[in-house]
Amino acid sequence: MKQLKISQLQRIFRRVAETIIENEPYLTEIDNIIGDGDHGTGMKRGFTALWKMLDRKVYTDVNCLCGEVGMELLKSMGGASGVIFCTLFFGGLDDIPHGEQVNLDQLAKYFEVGEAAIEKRGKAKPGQKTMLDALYPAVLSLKKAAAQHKDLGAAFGMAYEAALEGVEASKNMQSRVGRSKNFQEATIGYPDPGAISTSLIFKAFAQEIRLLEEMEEGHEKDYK
Amino acid sequence: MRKIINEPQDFVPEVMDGILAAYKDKVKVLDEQKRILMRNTPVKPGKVGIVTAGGSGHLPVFLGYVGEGMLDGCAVGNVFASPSAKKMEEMIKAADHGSGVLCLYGNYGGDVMNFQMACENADFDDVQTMQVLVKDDVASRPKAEMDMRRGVAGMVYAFKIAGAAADEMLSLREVAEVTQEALDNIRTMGVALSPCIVPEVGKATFEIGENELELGMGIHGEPGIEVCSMMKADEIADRVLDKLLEDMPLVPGDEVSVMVNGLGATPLEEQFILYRRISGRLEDMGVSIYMPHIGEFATSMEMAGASVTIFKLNDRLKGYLRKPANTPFYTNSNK
Repeated sequence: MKQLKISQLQRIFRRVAETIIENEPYLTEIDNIIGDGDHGTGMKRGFTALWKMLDRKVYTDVNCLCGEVGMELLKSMGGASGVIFCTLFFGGLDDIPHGEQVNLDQLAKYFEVGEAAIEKRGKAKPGQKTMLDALYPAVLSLKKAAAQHKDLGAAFGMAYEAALEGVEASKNMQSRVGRSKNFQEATIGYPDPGAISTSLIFKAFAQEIRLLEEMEEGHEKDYK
Repeated sequence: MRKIINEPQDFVPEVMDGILAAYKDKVKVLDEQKRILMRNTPVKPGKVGIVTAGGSGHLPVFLGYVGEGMLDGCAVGNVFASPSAKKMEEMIKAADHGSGVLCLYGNYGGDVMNFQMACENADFDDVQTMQVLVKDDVASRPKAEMDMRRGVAGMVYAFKIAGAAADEMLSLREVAEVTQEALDNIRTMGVALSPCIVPEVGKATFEIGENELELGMGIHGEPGIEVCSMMKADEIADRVLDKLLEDMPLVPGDEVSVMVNGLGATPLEEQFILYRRISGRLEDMGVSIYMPHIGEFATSMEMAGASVTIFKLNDRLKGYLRKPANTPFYTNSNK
């Protein structure tokens, strides 16, 4: 699969919302240990609002969809997470085409610019036990996959794997920015909740695109 | 968790409902979700707007200072979490009377990121903004890193000065400068005796031992400088005052305002016992005290403990501190 149609992208975002909502207890459990315990409820609030928005509206423009995903998260979540996860989907908006389709090159660029916007907004870098520790390797994987002209399913599968490795790596880091920095050494040994959330977003992309690819293959077989 | 609440997720909306029911003649909300509180009293045309924002769970901070002589607006977040940039942007635009808006708030990551985004968007719509951050908590970082300190109770003095300066019809730049001058002379430190519980979390996410107190703990349970065995009031006052004076030395003849602030579960009586020692020591040093503030100004839910703020005055700052202010949660006419 080389292109996502707008209806497919909307489905993927719904899957993202569902994945975050399902994982709220886990996010809360981890944030209770190394943060102030509100990451899971905040994410659930934002992605529930996002799910509702995607449920009531049908999008016809990829750029418009991505922009409204970011804005809905900003409006409904608040906190540092609200502005950061808004920026993930809003920061690279200039690199997402208007129209009904989007390809891997465009999505890789979109997440790359979004990642850079988060670094700027949060005055943070990968390696400081934040969501960037999952996002940065995921973006690198997407770019690599795009250079190798991979299918979308394979590309997002690689990005998810890289994000998971980033989550794992964040366990050994000491928090330096954000509220969990206040817990310093006590955060070592636990993954960053924001990094987990980021990996879940790529997980949902990978799983839903795989599903769409299987559906298309099945479809092709029917014709053969 | 034992709290006088209904459903945990209704905590903030129901607090807002209660405040509006009580004070709708003085304050109003701008939005359907009731997250932007604005003053409902006449404003001098062309006055610089003063706004703040922050998480819930600290009343009277932040929204309690919306009113005459202090703030024009406050965006309200969930418990201990910043409101969104979108709400801040709406508030900033509503608070602009043509002369720009000063955003005055505590130095916390979420608030900073959201306010920056809000100001960028407001500037885009030709609303001029400036930002002044409150960084008064001496325990949060050593003096060499004071620019990274958190904002706590000292922000109440900053709201007062900014509001008075704006009422004097100073320009945005001048209001920001005098507010910064005030903040350069404000230092706070707190002690915590018990933790607090965020309703939606349902349990404390940090602990303080049965017979312990934590010197310098932040208002969200951020670790402080030292965990100590419980001390007598005079010893607590001495430890806190020593630290404040080390950070901002005072000399005989100086004049200060002192705020002793209860964190939520510490009785006024205990706050006055602290104030007795602090004021005694300052007077022994030849430092005079003007307009002391004792009570709850910036709390942390049901946390037990108190903070002490020293605000070193000059004639100009003293004049602004004295100018009348009247909000649902604050007046200086009784001080």
